[in-house]
Order: sequence, then C-alpha cells, then structure tokens
Amino acid sequence: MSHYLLIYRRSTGDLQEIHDLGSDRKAALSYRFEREQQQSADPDVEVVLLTAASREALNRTHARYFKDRRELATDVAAVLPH
Amino acid sequence: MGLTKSQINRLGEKLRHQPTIDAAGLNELQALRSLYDAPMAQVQTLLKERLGLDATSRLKTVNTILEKLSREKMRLAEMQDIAGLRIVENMGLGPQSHMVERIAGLFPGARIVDRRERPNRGYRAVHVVPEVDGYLIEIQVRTTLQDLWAQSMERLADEAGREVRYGAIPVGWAVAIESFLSLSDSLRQFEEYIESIRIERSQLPPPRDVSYGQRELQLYRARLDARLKSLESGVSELSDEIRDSLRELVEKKPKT
Repeated sequence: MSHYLLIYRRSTGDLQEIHDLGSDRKAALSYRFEREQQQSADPDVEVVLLTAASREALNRTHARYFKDRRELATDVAAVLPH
Repeated sequence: MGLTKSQINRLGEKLRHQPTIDAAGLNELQALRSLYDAPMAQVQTLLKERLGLDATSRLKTVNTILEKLSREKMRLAEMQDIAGLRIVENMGLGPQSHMVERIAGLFPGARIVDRRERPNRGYRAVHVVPEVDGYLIEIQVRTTLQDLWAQSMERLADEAGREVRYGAIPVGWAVAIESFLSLSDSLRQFEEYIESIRIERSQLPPPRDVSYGQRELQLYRARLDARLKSLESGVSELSDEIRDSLRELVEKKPKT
C-alpha cells in the first residue's frame, strides 16, 4: 500500500500538489498533520491523505481530484452501450 | 491512549461552535483521527486478504468534519465516516449486492445503508459500517456509474459550494443542480434495466435443451427473448437520453 498526500483547492478544482509518500504509514500521517497545520487558515484548501494499492487505484476511486466535470461526463458516456 | 465517547463528544461540541479551528482544536482533532487509523488499516487489509478487494482509505479532512458538525446536530462520536474506505467496481446491481454481503460477512453486526433504494440527494451507493475496536469505519461500495455521478456532484459542489450536496441551491445553480439530480435518476433506471437483463438471461434455458424440440421450452425461450429485446431497446433509448443530458451538463454555467 502507498500513501498519497494531495493538496487540493476546492473553488478552482486545482490539484496543487500530489506526493507519493511510500508505505510508511506513521510518517505519512505525521506529514499530513504537519501540512494541515500549515493550511489551517485557508478553508478552501483540502489536505487529503489517501492510501491505495497504486496510483491507478487512486484514480479510479477518487477521480474528483484528477478530472474535471467534462472528463467525468466523458467517462460516464464511455460506460454506456452504443 | 484512546478517548472515551464523552471526551470525543465534548471535542465535537467545542468545534461545532468555532467558525474556524484554532491550533489547540486542530491538535485534538488530529489526535482523535489518529485513533481511527489502525482500525481503518485493519479493515483495508482484511478486504484485500480475505476477499481480494482493493479499497482506498482516508481519514476525513478537517474542513469536512467541521462542516458536518456545523450542518448536522450529530455527536462527533456518532460520525460514521471519520475513517472511510471506498471500493469502485465496474459491476451491476446484483454483483454489487453480492459484494456487500461478502463484506458484511467479515464484520458481524455491521450496519448496511443501502442508498440505492433511498438515494440521498441523488447519491447512490451501499455503505457497510462495522465497528472495529470501538471505532465506526465506513466502507463505501459503488458501481462505476454510481461513483462517476458522485464524483461529478463533488466537483459541482466544489464550484457551487459544498452545501449543494445537502439541499442548498446557490443563486444561478438551480438548473444545473436539478439536471444532476435528474441524471442520477436516469442512471438508476439504466442500472435497473441492466440488472433485469442479467436476470432474464440467467433464466434462459440452454439452447441445447430447446433444440430437442420441447415445445414448451421453445415457447418459454421465445417469450424471454422478446422481453430481453424490449429491455435492450429500453437501455439503448435511455443511453441516448443520458448522453444528451451529459452534453448539456458540461456546458452549463451558473446564471448570475
């Protein structure tokens, strides 16, 4: 399992940072808390730590951070039969 | 060291009444979420080792905890999604139910919340909520379509304001939000059609039996074939409608 730290600005949908923190769970959580302390004055910024088998798995379960509405709509259309 | 439910609830009441979080509040919230980390990891490992399922896990963000406390009257110790896992699979409703049963089988006493039957503002999924070492952990099980809708709604909420997910309609966003809710209903119908087709197909007698000339079987097969054709035609029409809605939705901008 890998831990990924994401810094995401909600109002613009901008993924400002993504870090692959490797498999050390304790260190990843500690870094996440450190970044939360730095960002706590700005409620528009989300500091998220996601744990997944791979970056591909992350893209599948948390597409919101990586795709805009147009791309998500294209994905929905791709699932529908022609 | 753990916290008692009263201690957790006291922290919740303190945070509920603060417009922004101070350093002390953040420290306490971080200490609380740390306690959920080991049970959450335990669930993630069990899902992988026992059922072969890849779930992504996360501890809830500071902002979303504060928003939930301010929006709802619930006590912090009762918040069931402080630690959450999500599984997304390209599957139909029947296989989704089967997956939920397998997951619930790992956690006797787990609560199952089926939001396919009772969508929450268009949100559809099934949640399994076990209590592990005294902490509630939420496992979200979503089909690809349920997930894509939810992710799109999250993006819309990022743009329009998070409260749209809970019924608020900011000025200029009414049409877009209504379209999204309508899209959720179309996707629900689509998934139900597909599930009906799956069930009908499973009832078809094998062609070899029919070819033996059993008259009743031939008639039965013909009736099922006709029903299947009608369902498939419904799916096709609905798919076209959904594509049209999607085209409109991505173009839609708030009217100010």
